[in-house]
Amino acid sequence: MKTIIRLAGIIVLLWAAGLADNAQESQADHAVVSFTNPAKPGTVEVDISEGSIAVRGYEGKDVIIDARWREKALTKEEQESEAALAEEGEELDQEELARKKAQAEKAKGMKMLQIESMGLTVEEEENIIRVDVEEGKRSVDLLIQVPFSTSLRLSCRDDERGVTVDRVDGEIEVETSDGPIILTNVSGPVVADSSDGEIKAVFGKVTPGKPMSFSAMEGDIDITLPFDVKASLKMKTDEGQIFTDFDVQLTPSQQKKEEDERKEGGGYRVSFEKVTLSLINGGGVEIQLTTYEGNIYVRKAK
Amino acid sequence: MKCECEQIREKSADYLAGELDEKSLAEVRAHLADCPACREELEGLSAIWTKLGVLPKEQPSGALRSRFYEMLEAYKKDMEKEREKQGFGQTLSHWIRRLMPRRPAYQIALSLVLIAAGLGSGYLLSVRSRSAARTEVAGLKSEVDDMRRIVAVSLLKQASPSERLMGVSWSARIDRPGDEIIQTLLETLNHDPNVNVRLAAADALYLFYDHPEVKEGLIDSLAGQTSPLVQLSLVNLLVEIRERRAAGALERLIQDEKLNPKVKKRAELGLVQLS
Amino acid sequence: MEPTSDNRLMEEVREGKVERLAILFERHHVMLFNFFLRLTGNRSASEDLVQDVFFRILKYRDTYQSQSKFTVWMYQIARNVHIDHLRKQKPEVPLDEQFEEPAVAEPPAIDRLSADVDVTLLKRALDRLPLRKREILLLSRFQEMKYREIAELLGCDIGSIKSTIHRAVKELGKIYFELQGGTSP
Repeated sequence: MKTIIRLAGIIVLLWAAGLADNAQESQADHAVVSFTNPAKPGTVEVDISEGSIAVRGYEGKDVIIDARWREKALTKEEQESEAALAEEGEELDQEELARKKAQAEKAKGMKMLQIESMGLTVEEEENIIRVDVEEGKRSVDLLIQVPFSTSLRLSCRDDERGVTVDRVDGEIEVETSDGPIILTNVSGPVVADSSDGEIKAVFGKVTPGKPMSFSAMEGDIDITLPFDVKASLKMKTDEGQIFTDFDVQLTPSQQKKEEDERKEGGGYRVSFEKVTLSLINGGGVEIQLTTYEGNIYVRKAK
Repeated sequence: MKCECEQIREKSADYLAGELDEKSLAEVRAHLADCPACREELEGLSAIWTKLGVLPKEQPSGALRSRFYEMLEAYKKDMEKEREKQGFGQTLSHWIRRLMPRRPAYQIALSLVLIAAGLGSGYLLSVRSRSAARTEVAGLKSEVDDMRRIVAVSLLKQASPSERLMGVSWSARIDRPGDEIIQTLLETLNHDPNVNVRLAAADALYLFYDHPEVKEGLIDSLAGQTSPLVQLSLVNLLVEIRERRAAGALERLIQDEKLNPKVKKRAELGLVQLS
Repeated sequence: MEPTSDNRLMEEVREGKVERLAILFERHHVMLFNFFLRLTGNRSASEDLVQDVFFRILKYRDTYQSQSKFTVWMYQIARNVHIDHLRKQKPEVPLDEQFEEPAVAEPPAIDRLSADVDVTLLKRALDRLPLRKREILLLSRFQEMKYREIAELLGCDIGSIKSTIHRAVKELGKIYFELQGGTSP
């Protein structure tokens, strides 16, 4: 089954004149989409260029999407062309001006509704729900509620707010360029990449046997694992450092330098060059952590 | 009415599984509209059927997978041994059967003699079969490699990035990877949509850098990469294996105006290290 | 590229390319594990049973008939493995006490509690369902088997499978309601 919903700008209507003056009020889209086969865990795919994605697991079987459109700040070029238009306006002939004035009089106390689509498309096919935002439209903040076992593929470029995920047990694939990636109450497998943002992941439990990988160019990677997790960590950083409060068993890898020293507060400070392999509780699920400048923190859940 | 309710009951299993065609579905709905009893029952059934969906799919521990592969490898070994024995073994057992006396007491005695003889001839045989054993071990190794290769290639084609990562780590465990694995890993390095999977592929290829295609592949890959982390990782690898032919690729990389300044710095340093 | 079908892979295993079983294992072991877990309520026993199924597939690979679907054959083996497991077990231990899944042992996040309670109740309700009904319900609801395939697997007609489903869901609902309402039997 294939369902496509094009949200033609379902608009928040503001009847009271007073409220209508409040131009900051943003428009919202709302959609509820079902999976073809709700008995099987589905997948939600989101790819946006400007905006943020927040996903929350909830006890239900539909996917609920709320989109809030931001008032887009005008770019410099747009500002210039607006200014040019305004100047032109002064040269409009009197007749034209009178007509505009009359129009404005008619619509007094009301707000113009934008009726064209905001460019949000939701599509369902074979248990995969795709959420797309047309390029070049205004920035959007998406709040998506999904059944706990849903898998996610999220991509968010060119925005500072990034991606947050809470209480989702499915597989999570996420990438951002600028924004942070914040995952809480997840169980993986997680495969995450951020060029300029930081990555934070707090695992309630860890799905055994499924490899995970986190990579960040400039930001830190900070993951919290259950105290009894069995994991084999492969950590690699060029200029960052590695910290952990787990009792790790280090396996030397190809020609790498190691040094351990006690840090204040009882934790271990471990710093290395390049690849570090370490086993937690005897080893288990493979987790790769790669940064260039950022630090790597591997925390034990309290 | 009674009869119709009976029919609805028969259809309820298909209704729950979503297996009813449009016509039957319409019939069921029409009946439900008129019959509160059936409606209530079917609603109750649907509710519990749907509720079963909250039961999570549990994951077995990693031990299950490794035990399975151990078993498969052991089975494969036994099969190979059987096959080797067959030629010699068949005639031998045939010969013993013909020799075997009918009476059990003599059977035991003869068996003891045969075992003693076996020990003696076993010594003589061992000298000759040592080289055969060596080829057998090599054969076994390649069988194990074969299996890992199949698993790795099939995993690398999955939609889930975690499974593709598993595919990369299976490839890394292969002793002699062969062209297929090298090609698949290079393809993963160049075209996998996920940065993490590409990074893992680069690391796995590093293990096989003495394979002629790998160095070329790593050098060629540099130009096509867009992620700064993958670019850095490749620069590091090429410097580490002291691949002088990489200098040209590094120079071209440095000239790219859109290049991340940190990658540029690392590549410039790499050029110095390689010269 | 079209993935190789289960049946084709099993034919190859039968003909001696036993390493092809690895792909069948990757495709089906999680489903099988969940099937056993719902039947036994015991994680480590379920892993043993999965291992046993794949061992028997290897052992009896010569007997595989390609006209029936691979999964039908696999679940036939799985049922036998489970029956053997039940025979070996001491009969006096009720299923409830063997329950060792972490759902209860692991402290759940507070806001997730109600969902976890649901899961626990449902698992308990399933455990109280008679074995045959439970098996048929699991096969159709969780193992993606069609009624026709379940009928073939159990060697009975499709009508009786459908009526068993109807009765099983009804009974499960009743048990679940009782567990929830506190009027526990």
